[in-house]
Amino acid sequence: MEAITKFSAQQFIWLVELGESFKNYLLSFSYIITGRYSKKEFIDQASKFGFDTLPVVAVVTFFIGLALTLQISKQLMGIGNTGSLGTSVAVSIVREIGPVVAGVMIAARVGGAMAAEIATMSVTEQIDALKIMKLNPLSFLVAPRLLASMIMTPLLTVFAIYIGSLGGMLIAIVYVQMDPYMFFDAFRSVVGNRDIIIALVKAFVNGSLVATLSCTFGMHTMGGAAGVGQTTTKSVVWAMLGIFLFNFLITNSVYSVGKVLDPAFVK
Amino acid sequence: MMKLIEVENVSKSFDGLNVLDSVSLSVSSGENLSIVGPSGVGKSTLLRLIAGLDDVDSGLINLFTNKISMVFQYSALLNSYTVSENIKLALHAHKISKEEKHQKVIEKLKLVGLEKYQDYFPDQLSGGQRKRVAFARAIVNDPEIILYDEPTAGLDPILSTLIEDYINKLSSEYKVASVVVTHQLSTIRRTSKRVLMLCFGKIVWEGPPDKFLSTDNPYVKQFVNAELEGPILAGLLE
Repeated sequence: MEAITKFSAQQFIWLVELGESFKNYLLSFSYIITGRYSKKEFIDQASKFGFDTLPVVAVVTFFIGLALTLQISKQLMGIGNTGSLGTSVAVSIVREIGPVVAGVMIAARVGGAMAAEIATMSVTEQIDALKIMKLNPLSFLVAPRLLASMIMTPLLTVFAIYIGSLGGMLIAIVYVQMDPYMFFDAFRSVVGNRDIIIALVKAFVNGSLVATLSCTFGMHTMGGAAGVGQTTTKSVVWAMLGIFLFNFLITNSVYSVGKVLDPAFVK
Repeated sequence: MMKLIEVENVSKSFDGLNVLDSVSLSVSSGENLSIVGPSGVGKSTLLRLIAGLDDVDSGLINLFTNKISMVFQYSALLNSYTVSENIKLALHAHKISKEEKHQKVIEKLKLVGLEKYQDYFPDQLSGGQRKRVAFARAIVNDPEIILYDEPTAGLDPILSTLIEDYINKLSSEYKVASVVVTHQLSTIRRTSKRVLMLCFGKIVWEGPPDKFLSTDNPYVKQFVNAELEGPILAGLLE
């Protein structure tokens, strides 16, 4: 019984924190719109974002591009249809793999670091010190991180798509002996502006999720070093869950709306 | 003397545990109040409530000034900011030029003997130096009252004396009132004009520092003489 009560209480705390995250997102967004955020923090965070995440996103998406293309080419070679390799890889990387992998890497690399930093600030009373100095922690800490995340995640996603596609092309050339121009022609024929916009929307949502959850969980941290560790894990797990959930919801809505507006898109 | 802080019947509990039980006190301008007591009896909680960092469960806290600063136990300096940037943050709302802000920062750093360290980051400083920077940050916007949470904890006796001297200097030269939460008898002796002992959520003794060291109150006696026998340990073990 005690375990059930403890479990229920924990779910309630999580719900409260998710509600708080949404409120923090709206408030921080309003600070960004009105220019009431720390520019120094924004520049620091945006540069950290790029330097910390670029190499890891490049390596991971390159290898995913290799493995994905290898799998698809095996299946297509079995039915003698390697001509559609470019289109299959393009659809997978641009619409799903690029945004999701970049989002997950950002959640793990930047989100974790962000949560740990804010959590440490919380347990060492640095956030309290800001409040005493009448500095709003949302405009000083959260809004610059949110803005950096909303700008850098789409850029990193485009980069992830590019590197993943290069990996795919390498397999197409080496394993399938496909002409690179043919591979990219297929890529161009199937990937339209709409696909890029959808990938960017997903990236924008992923960036918002990572920054908002990491900062909110960080600001709620108690219990010293152990609390910092728990917050870091929790923010990465919740951000990843959010990324997968919203990726599905966006894909599903795009197909539902696309079916009505343009049946050709769904194909 | 003008009243700066008035705490009326304030209670606060955490997870069903009553940390403060109907506590009342007041602090006037230029006054130096020390709040003492064993660990975990609500001293820092009371300070946080006065500072507005936590909400009271019941009761009322009236602040008659908004020129209030706080020195935290572990300094609470922002690690990604230099010493001068940390202090400058406290001036963000002041409508003065960058040069004037810089002048103010240097002036306060000189006061604590750290003007050479203005471009250092907090993790390049010792614990005592961080404390002095926190002190400079607390006084840069000319407060009327400063709340100190264990200002001399973790410092050697010489550095403790230095910090105590700063508190006294602010009080005598600038008429800044102080509320000092401390365990250390030297800090009580050297910085306070009034001592208030908090135990198990209640004020158990109040008076001048010289009487604090000689009173027969069982709580104070046990605390001052560091005795194991007495009501404090019995209460803590309960």
